[in-house]
Amino acid sequence: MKLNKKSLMVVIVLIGVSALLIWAFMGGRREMAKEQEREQPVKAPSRVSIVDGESVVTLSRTEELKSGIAVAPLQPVSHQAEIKAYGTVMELQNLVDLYNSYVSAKAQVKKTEASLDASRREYERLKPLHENNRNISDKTFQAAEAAWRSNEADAHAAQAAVHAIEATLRQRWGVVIAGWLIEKSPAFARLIQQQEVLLQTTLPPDTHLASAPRTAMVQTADSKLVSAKLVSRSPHTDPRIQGMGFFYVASTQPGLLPGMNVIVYLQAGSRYQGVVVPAPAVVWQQGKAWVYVQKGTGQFIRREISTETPVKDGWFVLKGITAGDRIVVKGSQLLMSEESRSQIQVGD
Amino acid sequence: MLTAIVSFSLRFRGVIIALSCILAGYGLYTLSQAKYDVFPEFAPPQVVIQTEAPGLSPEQVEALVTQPIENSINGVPGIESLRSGSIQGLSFITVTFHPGSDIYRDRQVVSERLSTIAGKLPQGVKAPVMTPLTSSTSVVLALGLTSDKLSPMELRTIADWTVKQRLLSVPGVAKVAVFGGEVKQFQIQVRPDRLIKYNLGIGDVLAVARRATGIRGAGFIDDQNQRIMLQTEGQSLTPQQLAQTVIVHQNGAGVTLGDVARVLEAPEPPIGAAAIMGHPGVLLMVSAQYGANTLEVTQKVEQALKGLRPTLSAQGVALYPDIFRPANFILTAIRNMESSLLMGAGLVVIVLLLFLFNLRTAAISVTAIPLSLLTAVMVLERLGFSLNTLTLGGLAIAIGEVVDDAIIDVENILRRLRENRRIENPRPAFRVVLDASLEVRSAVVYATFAVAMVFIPVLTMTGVAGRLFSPLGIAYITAVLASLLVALTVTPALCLLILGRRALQEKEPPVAQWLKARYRPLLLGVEQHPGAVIGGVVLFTIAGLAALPFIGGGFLPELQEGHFIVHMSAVPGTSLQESMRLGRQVTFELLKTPYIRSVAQRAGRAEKADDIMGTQDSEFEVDLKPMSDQQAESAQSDIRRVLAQFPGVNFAIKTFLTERIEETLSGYTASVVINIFGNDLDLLDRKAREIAGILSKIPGAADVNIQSPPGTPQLIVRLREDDVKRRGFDPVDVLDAIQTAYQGDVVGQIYDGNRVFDVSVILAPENRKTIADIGALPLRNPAGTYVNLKQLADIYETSGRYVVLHQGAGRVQAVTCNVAGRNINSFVKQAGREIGARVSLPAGMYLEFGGAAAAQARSRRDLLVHSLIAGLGIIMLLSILMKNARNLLLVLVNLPFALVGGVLAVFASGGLLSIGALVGFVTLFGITLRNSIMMISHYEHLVSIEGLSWGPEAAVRGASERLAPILMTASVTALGLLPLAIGSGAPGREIEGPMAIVILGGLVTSTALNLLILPALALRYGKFEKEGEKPIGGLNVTQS
Repeated sequence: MKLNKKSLMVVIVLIGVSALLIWAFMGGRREMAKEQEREQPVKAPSRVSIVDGESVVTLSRTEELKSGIAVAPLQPVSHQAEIKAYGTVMELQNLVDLYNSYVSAKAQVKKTEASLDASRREYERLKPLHENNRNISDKTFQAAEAAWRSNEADAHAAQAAVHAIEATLRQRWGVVIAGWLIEKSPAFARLIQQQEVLLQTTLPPDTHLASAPRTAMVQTADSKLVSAKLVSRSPHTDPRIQGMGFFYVASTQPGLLPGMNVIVYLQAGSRYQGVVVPAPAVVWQQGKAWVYVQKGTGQFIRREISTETPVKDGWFVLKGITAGDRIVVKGSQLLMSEESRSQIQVGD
Repeated sequence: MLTAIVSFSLRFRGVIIALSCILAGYGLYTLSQAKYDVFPEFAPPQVVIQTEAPGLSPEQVEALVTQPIENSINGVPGIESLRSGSIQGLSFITVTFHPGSDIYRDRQVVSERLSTIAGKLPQGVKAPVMTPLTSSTSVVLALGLTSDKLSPMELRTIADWTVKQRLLSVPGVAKVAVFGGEVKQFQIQVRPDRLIKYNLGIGDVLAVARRATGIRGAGFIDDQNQRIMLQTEGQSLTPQQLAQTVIVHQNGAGVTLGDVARVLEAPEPPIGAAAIMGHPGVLLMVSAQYGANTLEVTQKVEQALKGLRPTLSAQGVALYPDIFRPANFILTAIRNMESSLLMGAGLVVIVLLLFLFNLRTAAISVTAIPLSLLTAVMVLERLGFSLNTLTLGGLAIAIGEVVDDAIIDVENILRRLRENRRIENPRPAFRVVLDASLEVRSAVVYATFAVAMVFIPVLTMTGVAGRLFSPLGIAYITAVLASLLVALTVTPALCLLILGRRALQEKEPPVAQWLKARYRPLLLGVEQHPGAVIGGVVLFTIAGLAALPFIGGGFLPELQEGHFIVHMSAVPGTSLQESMRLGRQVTFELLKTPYIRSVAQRAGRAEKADDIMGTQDSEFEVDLKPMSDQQAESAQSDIRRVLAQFPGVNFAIKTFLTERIEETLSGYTASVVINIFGNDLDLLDRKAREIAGILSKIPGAADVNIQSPPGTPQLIVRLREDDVKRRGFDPVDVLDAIQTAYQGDVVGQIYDGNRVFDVSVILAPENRKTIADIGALPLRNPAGTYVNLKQLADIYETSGRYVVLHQGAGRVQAVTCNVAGRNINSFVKQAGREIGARVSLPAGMYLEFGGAAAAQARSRRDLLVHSLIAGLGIIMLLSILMKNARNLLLVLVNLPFALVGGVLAVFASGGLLSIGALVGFVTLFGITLRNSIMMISHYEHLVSIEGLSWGPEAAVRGASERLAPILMTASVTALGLLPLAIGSGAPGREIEGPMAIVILGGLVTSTALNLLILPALALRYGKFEKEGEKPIGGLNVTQS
């Protein structure tokens, strides 16, 4: 009995010790599990789902606020493309010289025409006399004929000289300006009198326009913007730039002196209705541009946008998103990062 | 030899005591001058080469910079591994040398190779630099600067040219990495429309800018009397002067730099950014030199900062001097460690007094402790080790043995002196003390060497573990050897001096008496039921072994540093601006929690910084308020909860030292790593995906990962050769123009006092803001015609690589996975088979299996081999001592049971076998071995020298005589370690805590074994013969 009691005690103590050991083990394990969890990177469950083939990032209101994501509605914008072209204020001396030549050629035509008229009449007067029993000598008649023929040739030559100058004018300055000159248009007078300046405007090398806009804005050397009227297509390009050229006229300014190079802004193409996506809203991935559109509370859908039409501080977009869409303007990269967060290694 | 030493010490006891006083004094002096740290230098000899390659893409950096450097480095003797990464604008190569090689020589050899390659790198790539040699932990202080008054550029200029310069002059500082602010540059921001207007190209601007900032020396004039120096001035020094530099004369007027560009002070394109407490600022990371004393350097840096403070505040700069101060943790850790040691020492003294019950003998025994430990400290200091938690831990576990050495001596001398007094013709005290010392000494010498040998596996451990724990082993062995020396010299001398002529107490100390009175019947009881006892022991051992499967390995415990480093990573390609924006939000949320004192963020990288981070990566230095361990743990949970609320980024929370150690582990922590080597990056990616697919279908695979981050947005400009030719361009000119426009071209430097600023030519910011701008970049051919870049090149967006990794100078892609629920070896075999069957690798591509599992297996094998060698050594040593195979076997058979207590202790603390715990087992092994040896030797001594016949009486007498020393050693060791075990999680005790727990647990079983089981076994199986019959026993051997 005594022995039994003793063994019972031993057994009880053993059981107690084992229980204590196991209890301590469990406690230690819990502590270790916690510690192990603390060593793991903080990886929140993914907030990305695929809805109708589009990836959607869903954030709670707190998450949205804490990460500082800002959303703004898109405003409708009508847009016409604007091209930045290079303008040169033309030196008009050549034009004036041509004008002078033209005027004297014209005078020469008149002079030769007068001589021709006189000699033709002389010839016509002498001709019946000569035919009627040779009242005048053959010599006199032939001299009159020669004078007439010579004057006729002179008149042709003078006319040809005028045509040549006209052709030069058209070649060098275009049909319109040549026309002004020929017709002595007031527009030409304004140029000559330096009330207006002529701008040769060259488009950037790889830009093409079917027709140039009627008006353009010119940035003068003193950084003022003045409007300019289209004159015509330029018959030649600026050899430095190798783009399409146009002539514009603008009123004379202190910052628009002959020889100056200026920047000309041309509105081109049709006017479209669309939206302007601000640059901070756009993220690039896999070679494409994307924005995040907010749908419902805390749901952000990634949409591809076209970046064919860059505008100041963003892109003009016609398709994919519309006015009134609420897009993420701050924190787009964060949403994009959320989509591939599972692949991000941290702390390695 | 022992006789000579002991008799010399006795004869010249005065000298010995004087010497020991000097030793103690010098030891204290060394202690006050010692280098303190948390850990020993744990980093392997490593050389990091960073090469800045501004503007180059990862692939270009890899091919043009990394590969040539690797080729030149490869073949340097002693390289263990060569890894590299190439990211946008930077190549970084890590060369790891064989442990034990001289780091200075390694650096010298690498430097020689680098000097030959520098000239061969592409234009614009800076010379490769080795990052300064720093201590393993590197950072000694992180400090921040912010200002409401100054611009970011002014702040950075102050940081670079005032603060950094001052700190670099502090002795012990290796480098200062500066993050954030704006690096001042004189920028010539070219406006393309103006170039066209004036008919100029970007090259013209570059050439003129280069000339405008040029500096030329002028020589001197020698006349009969003097040498007169010439100095030329005229270099443009201000933006205004630069702007007036004429590029070309046109129509009688000069076109100046100012006409085609804005010339101004502007920030360099940034590679990093920083914020302090959520406000943009500058963060300076100060690193200590290799082997420097962290505490001392910290103090000196702080002194320097104190000197700077008035100037800084006069300029309106706020200084945050303690964003991160590792010295805090070192101080706390060392203080905790020291208090544990002191508390332990105090307990030891009490135990000795109780057991010996004699002030004199206790004093003699206690003297051994400081003498041995101080000797060990001096030796450690001479060997270049710092005093750290591990060396102090080594000293702590040595206390027991140190005391034991002295006690054995003192006890025996006391006993022999007493006996001598009792005889009629007492021999001279000198002779008695000499004989008594020598009588026990040889066994102690062998036991000490055996214990030292036990530590061989610890000393030869490979990798970081080895570098961390071998100083502990060395400290332990040095302390034990020093204690042996003390026991041979000082202890006998003191005994002779103090006990030699005095009347000696005849009575045994009451504690010993009391214990012996209870021990005898217990021992007799055990000896009467040998079967039951042995059965019980076997059962108990089996129970302990049964707990083994529940024990898992772990490398490092959680360190309570009072500081967290929070890593934040977004997808590659995220801008610095966005990283900082989110960082500000994170900072404010973190500061709302009550535990956090300060938060500083740095994103991206800095020149020569330790970490290579992209603009998408941030690190937050989160400093906690002083708090208890419990609070620190809940602080971490709170921080995790806060961080989990931020979308788009992943966070990891680490402590500084853990991170540093993990960094030196190099490579992935997954248990299986498949490295795929090859030349074609795309093919590597594809094969990696195939392999990952196969792996994830193999049973047991978990966390299959391809180790390459997602792509980063990239814009490709691919020149069309025909167009380039047709339009009269030279391809390189086009590429140069693009580089100048978008990266900027440094054309010279401008000096302002001792400060130097770069002058660079770059496109005006408004012209390089959007993707559309690049196509419109005007280029001018030699004939003077302008074309836009898009007329010469295809420009398209795509997704590019963030980083190209190399291993052993070859391209590598890694697939990692863990294995759950099955044997790793069989998993690896199956994976190898299936991959071999299903993935076809083209020529030149090959696989390599590796990973933590392989590394662990290798280190386990090493450990096993070293343990076997140590075991053989111990057996040989024991065989010399015992010359009796049975007794030898008795000593060995007992060991498993002794360790069972340790196993159960590990089990009870959660079953995590850390390396600390492993070292605990080694120590335990040593203590048990020593006690067993002493017990068996004592039996041999009783039988062979004192002539007792072997039987229960001799066994009980021998055991009772060893009772006090064994109990004393055990309780001294236990009590010495108790403070460590109790405060196991506290700062500084994290590593030794588990070790102490193992030793405490093991001491219980080991002591029970030595006192109860060993005598019983010895009685049954031991073989002790009298000297006359057959001379046996180590004692005779050494004495003769």
